[in-house]
Amino acid sequence: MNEPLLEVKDINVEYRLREKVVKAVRGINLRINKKEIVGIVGESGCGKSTLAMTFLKLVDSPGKITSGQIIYHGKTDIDVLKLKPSGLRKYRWKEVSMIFQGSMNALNPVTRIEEQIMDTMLEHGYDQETALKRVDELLRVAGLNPSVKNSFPHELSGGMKQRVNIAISLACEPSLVIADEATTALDVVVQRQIMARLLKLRDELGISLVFITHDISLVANIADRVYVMYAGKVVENAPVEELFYNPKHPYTIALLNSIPSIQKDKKIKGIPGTPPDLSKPIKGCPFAPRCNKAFDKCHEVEPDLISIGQDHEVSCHLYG
Amino acid sequence: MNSVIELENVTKIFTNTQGIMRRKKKRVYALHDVNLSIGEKEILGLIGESGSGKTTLGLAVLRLLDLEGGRILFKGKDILSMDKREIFKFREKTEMIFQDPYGSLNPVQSVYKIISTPYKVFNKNVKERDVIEKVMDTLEMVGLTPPEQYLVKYPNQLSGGQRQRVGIARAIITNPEFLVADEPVSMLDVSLRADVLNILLESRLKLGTSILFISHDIAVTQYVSDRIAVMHLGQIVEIAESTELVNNPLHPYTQTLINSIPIPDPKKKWDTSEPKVLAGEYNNEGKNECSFARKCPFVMDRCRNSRPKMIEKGDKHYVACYLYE
Repeated sequence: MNEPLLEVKDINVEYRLREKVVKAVRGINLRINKKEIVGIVGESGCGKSTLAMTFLKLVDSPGKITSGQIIYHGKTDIDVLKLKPSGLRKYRWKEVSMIFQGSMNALNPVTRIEEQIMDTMLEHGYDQETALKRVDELLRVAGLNPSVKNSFPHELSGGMKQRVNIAISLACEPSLVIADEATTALDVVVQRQIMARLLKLRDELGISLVFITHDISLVANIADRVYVMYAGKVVENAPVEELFYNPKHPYTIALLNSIPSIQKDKKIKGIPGTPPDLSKPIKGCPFAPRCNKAFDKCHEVEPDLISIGQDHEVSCHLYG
Repeated sequence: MNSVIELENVTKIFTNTQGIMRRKKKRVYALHDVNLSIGEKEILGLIGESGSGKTTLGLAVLRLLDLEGGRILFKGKDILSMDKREIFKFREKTEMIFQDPYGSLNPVQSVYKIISTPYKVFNKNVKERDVIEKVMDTLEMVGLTPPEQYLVKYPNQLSGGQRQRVGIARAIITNPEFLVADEPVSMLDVSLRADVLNILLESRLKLGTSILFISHDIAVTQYVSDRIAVMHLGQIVEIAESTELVNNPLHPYTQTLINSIPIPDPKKKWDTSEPKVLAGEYNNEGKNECSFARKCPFVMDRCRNSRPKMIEKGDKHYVACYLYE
């Protein structure tokens, strides 16, 4: 269980625009173990999607990965960012695949589902016959009736399209699937169905999952470990129970206090202010202007991520 | 409790033409015999999945749609048979808060212009100085302080949460008696939602406004609402006080819905069991059957041949399901 599958080391990503440079990801370290479900939460613009893109080396111009390392521990260890296009083609989808944000629109509207799933496999070295056989199986695994393969995307509902995307993400038997806001646009009942399906896949196929979402309630229900991101950095990471029952970073605490729950009758409170503009240099802790516990040092020195107690890291001067 | 808005057997049908010759007509019942009342100072939550008719209902009660059947009463008056003067009065007393804080504010108008316009329309002879005063008060009420700072700003200078507050200020400046808030926080970041919801709750306390709060997020709806109505394919299937509805859902659809909500507590982790619904396809062409019959795990013959009526089951808890008859 504690064998690492993917290790992200001090990764930095910039978007170089015409008049400014946006530092979207600023020195993130992260580790995904085998069979583990990792949740990455944060507000919009905190860099969580950009981070996910780096796992597949998908960051495209004007974005640039300026430094860092991503090591994938498959049959052999792979340094992902150093891969050439031919190597990347063998890595993407066969080792790590992705369910994209807004993947309701990720399907080609003019080809049948069967063809789209086949394409993925043929491109990655499956022969025609095996690929054809696998389509039915993949659709069944994703919780769809195999007859769906003869449909066009517009004939399917949002939830069904999302399942087709899950089927495609599993087509080449990856060890890690990244789901970027995979259920945000869906109804809760459909979301629950898809989550149950993904959890089952973890148990049956032994894959690891990364969930990127802004919905912290959802993360509580599925993740083993949670990373909280703010302004391009990880501000806290811990096993899910530790994070929810013993949160340390003022941002995590404020985030947990801002969501209503149907089980508790509590007054919820928003977080005042807005996240910092990442195209401007940040002095001190990026959360300091919104933090109710900030003191002088917070506005001067940016805190490092430090370990406090078992398996729990936080970047805050309160604990330094 | 006196009701501000009352819906009696409201039906709204949209017609789609299909086929090359545009001859085939498909009738979609967006609202099907809806009965509902919203009391004075009450916040009624309306939940349901996308396409269930929530927004259509919100538009209908503001007289923004024609109806195919039924009546909507605003303080006892049928809004569809009002004359021009009554409509003008009705428009002053009812307002709407929109879902998209980016699309619902005019980008070339200042915050002052946006908020003052509805006030000036309904208060013709008021002095500019008083208008400014009123706008500042309203800005303060929605937490945009100090208000002088915001008067001259344009929407592109504001964050999403601030824009939505401007949207609320514009809606409450005329002291409306009834507000429709259609998914007012679904486009905001989680950390900003709480404040906007609290502002809605406060303005209800201060102004005594009744609110129809439309949302697909049950946790958010429960937080603000006194009562919750559950909508499914154009029909109301259950109404109860919000804690009662969440703790004791009766309709099989409500039960599925409540069971699918993620609870922010890792001790209540999900397992791999999927919600129990049948794999049927919905039909909203006004067939004489229960709207949930095709997916309901408890479906009986009766459910496919007639539509259940709303019955009272427990204190102020109404449900439309044959299981309880």
